[in-house]
Amino acid sequence: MEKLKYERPIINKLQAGMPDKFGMNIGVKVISNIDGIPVSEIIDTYGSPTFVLSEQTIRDTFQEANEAFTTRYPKVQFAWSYKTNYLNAVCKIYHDEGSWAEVVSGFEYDKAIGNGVKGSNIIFNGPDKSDKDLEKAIENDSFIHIDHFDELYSLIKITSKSNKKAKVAIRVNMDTGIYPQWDRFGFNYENGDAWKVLNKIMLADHLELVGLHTHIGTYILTPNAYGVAASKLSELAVRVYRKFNHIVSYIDMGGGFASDNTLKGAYLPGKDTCPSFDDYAESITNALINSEIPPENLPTLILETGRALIDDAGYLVGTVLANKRLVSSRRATIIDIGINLLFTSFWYEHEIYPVKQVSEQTEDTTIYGPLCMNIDVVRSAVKFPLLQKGDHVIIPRVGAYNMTQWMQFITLRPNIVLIDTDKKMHIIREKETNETFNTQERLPKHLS
Amino acid sequence: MSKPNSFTAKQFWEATINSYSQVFFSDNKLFGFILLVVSFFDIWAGISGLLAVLTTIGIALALGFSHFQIQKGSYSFNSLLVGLGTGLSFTPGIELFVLVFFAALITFIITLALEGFFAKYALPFLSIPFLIGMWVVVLASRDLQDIGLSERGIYTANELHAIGGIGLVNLYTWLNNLEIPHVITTYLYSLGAIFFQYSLLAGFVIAIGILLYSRISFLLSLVGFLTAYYFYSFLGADIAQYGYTYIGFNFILTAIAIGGHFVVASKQSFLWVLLLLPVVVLFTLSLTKILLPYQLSIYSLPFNIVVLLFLYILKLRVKTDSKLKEVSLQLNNPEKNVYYLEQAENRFKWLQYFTISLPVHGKWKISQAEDGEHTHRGNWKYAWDFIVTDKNDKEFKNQGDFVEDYLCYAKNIIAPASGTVVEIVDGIEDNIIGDADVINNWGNTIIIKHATYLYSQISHIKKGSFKVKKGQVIKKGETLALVGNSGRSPYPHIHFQLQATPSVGSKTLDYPIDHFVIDNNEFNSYAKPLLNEQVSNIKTTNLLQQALKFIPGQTLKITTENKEKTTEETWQVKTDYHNNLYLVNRETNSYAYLHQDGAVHYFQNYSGTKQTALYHFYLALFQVPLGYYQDMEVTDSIPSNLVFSKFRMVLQDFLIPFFTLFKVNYKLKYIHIDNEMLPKRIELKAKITKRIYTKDKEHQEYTIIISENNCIEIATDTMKINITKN
Repeated sequence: MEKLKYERPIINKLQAGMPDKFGMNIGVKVISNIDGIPVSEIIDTYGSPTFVLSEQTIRDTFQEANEAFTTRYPKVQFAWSYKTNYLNAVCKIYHDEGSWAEVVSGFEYDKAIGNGVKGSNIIFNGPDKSDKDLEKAIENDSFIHIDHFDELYSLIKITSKSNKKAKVAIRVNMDTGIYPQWDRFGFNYENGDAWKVLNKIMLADHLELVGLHTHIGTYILTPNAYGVAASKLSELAVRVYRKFNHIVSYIDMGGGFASDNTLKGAYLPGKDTCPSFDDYAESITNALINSEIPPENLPTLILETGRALIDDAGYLVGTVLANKRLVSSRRATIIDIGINLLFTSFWYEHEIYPVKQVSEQTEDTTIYGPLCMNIDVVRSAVKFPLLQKGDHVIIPRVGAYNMTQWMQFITLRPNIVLIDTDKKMHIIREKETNETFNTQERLPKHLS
Repeated sequence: MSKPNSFTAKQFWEATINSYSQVFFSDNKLFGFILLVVSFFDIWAGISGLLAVLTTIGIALALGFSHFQIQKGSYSFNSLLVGLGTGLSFTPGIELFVLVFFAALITFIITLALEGFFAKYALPFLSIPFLIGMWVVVLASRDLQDIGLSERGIYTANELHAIGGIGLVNLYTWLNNLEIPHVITTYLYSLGAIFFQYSLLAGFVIAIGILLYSRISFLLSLVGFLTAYYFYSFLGADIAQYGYTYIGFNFILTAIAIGGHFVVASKQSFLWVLLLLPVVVLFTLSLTKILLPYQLSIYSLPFNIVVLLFLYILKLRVKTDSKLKEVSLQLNNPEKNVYYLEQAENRFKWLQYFTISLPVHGKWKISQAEDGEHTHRGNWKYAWDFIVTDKNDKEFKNQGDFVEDYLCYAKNIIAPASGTVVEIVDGIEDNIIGDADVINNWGNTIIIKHATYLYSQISHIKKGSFKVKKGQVIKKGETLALVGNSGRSPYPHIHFQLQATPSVGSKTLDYPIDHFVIDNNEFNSYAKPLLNEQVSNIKTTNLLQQALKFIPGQTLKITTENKEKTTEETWQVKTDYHNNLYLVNRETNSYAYLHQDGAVHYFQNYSGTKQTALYHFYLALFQVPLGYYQDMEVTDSIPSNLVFSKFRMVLQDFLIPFFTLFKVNYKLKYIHIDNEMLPKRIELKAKITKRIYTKDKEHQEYTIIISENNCIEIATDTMKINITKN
């Protein structure tokens, strides 16, 4: 007979008969597998920690979002937001599903080209586009979303030399009734900057106004804000049409749809508060359809959703390194996943689960990462079961931003594994080694 | 410039010549001319006939009758027959011509009176005016002392010598001396008798004429005649003894009328010819007895009775999808009628109808189609239910216990076509899942009037979601309301039907959807979505729409390059008074008729030489849906006479009632688009395949490149055609 696992004693305040508003939390949720593959098998094969992505979830979520919009609006186009996750394998799945690419730097632009995206299917956003980047984008017929007047002037200068028309849109920021108002990107709607720049574009010889773009913020929980934004953009489109008899081909509503993760300080869990794709779609499409734009001139609706599409598909699997008791008598658990890998733990209360049922009991625990830095806290307070050294843990919903914003700090970055739709695992990014770093470093002669 | 109302010399000539060919239901000029010549085999009969025709045309013009009908010869062919009959029966002289004049006048008046009478039943007046006119003349003539009965027709050789000299006489004697089987001579005599010519030569020339004008008519004339001939011998009667009384043609004309002219030639029409000819024989035998006391010939009476009766009963049919089809647009040629029907059935059946699209955005699944198993039955069988499913074919998220779980719930319903909202029912709550409100069967409903007797009804709408009001004029594609679960709806869906009346729950109309795409790769026009199909409206691409939009008055410049030379053509875009749009190349007199409804470009017809760029344009862009669908293949069939040579078509013409020997298939593929949203260049490939019986042979492949500024380029291996609009 196998030896029973040791379970440490705990003291919990008994709260029987007094369930809180969520009812009685019975048992501890366990995630033992991803798409049917046991977590332990993943860790055995690829080490701990490891990022895991589910192709099935990526495709399912994309199709759900696509369906929400296409059954409400005649012309819809998604553009994969590269900065959310620009692993080539991930990008290729989205392109395969019909997404274009939305990039915000020369690096991302080249990555998109490298992934086989046609130049004319790339949307070039962001405040940082060098003259070289712009030239390339013009040459490739990409859509350039102008962020500031200086970029407009550069474009006018470049195009007057090359004589090739640039396809441009402007990014518009506006008051949609939410806080904070992102006014650092693009041109303001209310103060007239947006209208001013549209006039300049329409009068420029080599600029072709093709679209209007906004990105009202991130993790927006009120779909209505999108409706307000879409109405304001349609109004601009109508004004352009009235003054210049020019039809704007698309309206790009950017991204910012929330995922089911819970924001720090939120009263209710994200799953309960986060709007569905249908909610966003209804708000946006109704605003466009009810605008003054006649049905035959309705622009293509472009969406740059990133987080909401990929977050659910990503998992981090790791291992408990140690348990300790803090001076405050609070229990602390140290795991091998830190903020170096889980950048989003700065703003989310990430859920964290055991992969095996260990005990019915939970204890208020602080979960620390492995870094020798005070700030490396994954969860400051969580009801957590009594795991021991060597037990595995899993953090779901980490697909967005973590694989682009992670840091090489103190430890090396781990493998990223993709489980394909046939449930086969593939490494899509090799873990780093010391060699990886040494190749980048140069020793001055006097030190070698 | 001629006055708008004037009748030109050319029209006059056509009216005259058509009067001759009309006797055989044709408007073929060559055939008409042959018949004119044949009528002059008896010079006085010929002159009388022509006089009757001219008299009738003159009177019709003077009284201000329809130029169109006059030009078609519809008013004058009966007079012609009376003229011929009169001319042959009486001795020539001024009295004869006066008689012919008045006989023509009588016939013309009867023609118009009968036209008015029969038009109410949508029936032709055939040669009844001739019958009445001829009987009037014959009966009256018995008291007319100054007009003697003619002895002509007895000394035929003398008469022929007078027209054609010794050559014609020799031909005549040679023909008469040939050992021709009895059945053939009787056939030829009968043919000649239609024009009151009792000679083999006349019959022979008319037979050749029929063959030239229509192979089907020729075949029918043989089938009809032989059926009657053998029916006679089967019953023990001798057809030849009636030869002199000019009745054999009844069988020939009945066969042509039923077999191919008023009914589209098919196996079924031939079968009916076989069934009806004995009836004609019985009528012939019996009616002769009735008219005997008056010493009147029955002429074409049996033909008129049987054809009119049969055409009349065909119109009383309830099921219109029978294989025996009446000709709806008369092209005066059985072959053309068959080929036109083929095109009309497959391509343009609904062209003149008001177009109705799907009432939703994006891809929806048909959960109940026409004649569905649940509620689409009886009076409500022409309806569709729409839902949305995910890729696993599931229509809900979670457990599907709440209406909000359903993918289609609260999605936009859009106007399937422009119109006026005539009824809105609102205020009925959504059912809980699985329940159905059988009291408010239709739930919240909207009814839109699109045209007279054309309404659309959409039901099971969400309470309070209406975006339009009763009485509001709406545009196609406008949002109407949201999908709900009210009425007899156990789970969220919408019910869509077309009807002729404005009340909720009216009887449904059998009406198609104009264009839709199944699974993003199968294109359908004027069809009905079927159960479980995933359908969406066609998404058009501006570049294609603009390039294939032709505005009347436009001039197109065309350059054709091939190995040897570069040639230039000019086309003009015109419309005729039926509002048919066409492209015309004036130099070669080539016409390409097209149809555009904003979503699909069709070529309808082509006439003219096959040597122009216009001809290739017609073939290459035979049918082009104006949206870009990478995986879609569009197929169509081109009328075979526009690809196969005339000589080959003769064989096809003979066989077409029974099976199609030659077919031309058109296949269009979407090859490349440079940008889905703002395309500047789209490449298509059209493949034209000839099918001879069951063997396919590639005929031509066209690469079509449509680029900015309305440029269309059509290339084959050997040439390149460039079309620019200005």
